[in-house]
Amino acid sequence: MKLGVALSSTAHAAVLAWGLLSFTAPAPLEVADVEALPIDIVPIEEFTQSVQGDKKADLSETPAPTPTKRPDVVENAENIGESKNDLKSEPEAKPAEQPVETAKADTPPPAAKPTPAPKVETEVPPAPEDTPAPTTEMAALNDPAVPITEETPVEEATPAESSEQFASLQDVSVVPTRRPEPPKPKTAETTQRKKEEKPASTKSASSDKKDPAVTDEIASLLNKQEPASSGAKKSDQQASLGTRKPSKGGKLSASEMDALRAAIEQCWSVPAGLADAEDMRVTVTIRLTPDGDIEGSPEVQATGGESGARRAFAGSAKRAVQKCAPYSLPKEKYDTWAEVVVNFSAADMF
Amino acid sequence: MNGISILAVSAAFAQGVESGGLEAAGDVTLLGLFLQAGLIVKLVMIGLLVASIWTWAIIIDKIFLYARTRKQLDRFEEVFWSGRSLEELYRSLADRTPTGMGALFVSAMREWKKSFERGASSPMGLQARIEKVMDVSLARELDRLERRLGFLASVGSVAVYVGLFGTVVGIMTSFQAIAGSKSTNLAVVAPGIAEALLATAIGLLAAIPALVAYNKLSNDVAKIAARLEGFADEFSAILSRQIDERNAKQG
Repeated sequence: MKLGVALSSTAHAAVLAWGLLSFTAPAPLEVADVEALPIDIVPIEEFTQSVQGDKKADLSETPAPTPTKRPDVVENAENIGESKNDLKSEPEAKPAEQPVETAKADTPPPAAKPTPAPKVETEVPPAPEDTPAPTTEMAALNDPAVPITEETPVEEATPAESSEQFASLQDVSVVPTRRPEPPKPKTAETTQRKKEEKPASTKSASSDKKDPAVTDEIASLLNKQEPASSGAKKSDQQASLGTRKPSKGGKLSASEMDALRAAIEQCWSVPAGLADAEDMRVTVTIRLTPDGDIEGSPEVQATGGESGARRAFAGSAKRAVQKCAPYSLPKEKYDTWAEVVVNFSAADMF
Repeated sequence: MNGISILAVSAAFAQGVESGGLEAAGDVTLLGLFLQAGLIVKLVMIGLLVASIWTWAIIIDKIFLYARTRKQLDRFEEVFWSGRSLEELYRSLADRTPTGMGALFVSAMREWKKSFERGASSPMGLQARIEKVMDVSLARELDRLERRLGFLASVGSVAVYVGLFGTVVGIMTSFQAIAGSKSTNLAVVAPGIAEALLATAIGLLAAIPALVAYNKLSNDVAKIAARLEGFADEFSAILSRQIDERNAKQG
């Protein structure tokens, strides 16, 4: 027994010694001395949703619309712009101003008397009502204009314009005023006026390069709306890339969806005794007004099942959706629930 | 009582962690783990270590003993079946204290001789006495061979639980250390858990060899016992024949 104890003790001592030597502390983890990197976790929505800004501006850190110049602050203004009143929609272009502007714009090229005339005359189609008084002499003067105008029904209007040009040449400050009386020989039907616009615009395209004033004018003609100046909110930051009206990016939360679902479920009286209804599906698409009322009549699409049962099922679904209106949904997220698709499935009922 | 002591230990441990700081927490060497451990865990570890030492001592002892015993059996059988007279054999063995088959043989021969010297003539009684004496001798021999094997069995089954107990206590204290330092930092927890697991490791280290050795050694003992019993039966048969022959001569 002594031998055993001695051998065992020495063996254990050896094992322990080996353990003490081998089970040393692990090598310390070497950490390079680098500066910590700040990491932000940002939701992808920040990038996928458009931000308020200017379409043509460069992208910058903070979203900002085109800066405004008006110094005074309108309280509770929500829309960016220069106007005094906070308007949501942009105002219509004012047609009354245009003849004045065009007349002014046309004044700079006075040197070439006969040649620019045909150009100018075509550029000003929306002013056919202007005074046609000295038509006859000027038409005779502007020989090259004649063949063109003969092709189009503008003929009466164009000489009128050119004559006006020349009148304004003599007296630059005189602004041609509109006269209520349309010229007699002119064919005043609207259809013809529409036609006359086409050649006018083609011509103007050819003359674009020469006259910047003219291109401006065309731009103002084509773009019937005034550029961004509807709201009254101030913005003094550098414009950033974005859209004028940013998407709110809201979506109905799960609880709101559940509330909607529960509301519709309560209104739904399931038709009794449906045969083979497991695979029937009805999709009801409704458009909602901001008040939550249904706009128009719901679109119903039903699939599966027998035709009779399907019809009954689709009818019940439609009635349920109509019965529940108006829905109370968060107004600020109207964009997301303007159109709601409700799926009715019979499979869940069995 | 036990609960109070555990709490006291844990408080000491928590203090150790707080005052020891990071250096103590980082010490995960074998000795460091042992020194950091609470009193109960230390006792468990020491107990398991002693048990392991004793287990291996028994294993080594028994292995040598059984090897020796088998050799003796072989030699005795060789001598016994060599055709020497039983008287001669008895005389050569009686002086020293024999083991194994020798012990059986000597005890049976002694009873035989005594019976004839005193002139006891009942053959049936003599036969029964010889068998009884041999049984006693066999039991004594087996007891000598099997002594301390029970300890191996105990260690094999209990050491795991003892180690587990040490682990549970150690983990309890390390959780109390978390509560004390109000930090779930792994550096606070890891040494405590490592030290606690060390107890289970030592327990397994003691239990596995003990269990394996117990199975092997008890198997060896069974084999030796079978050989001894076989010899006892054979020898009693020989003696019984002798008794009958003598009775026939006398009668």
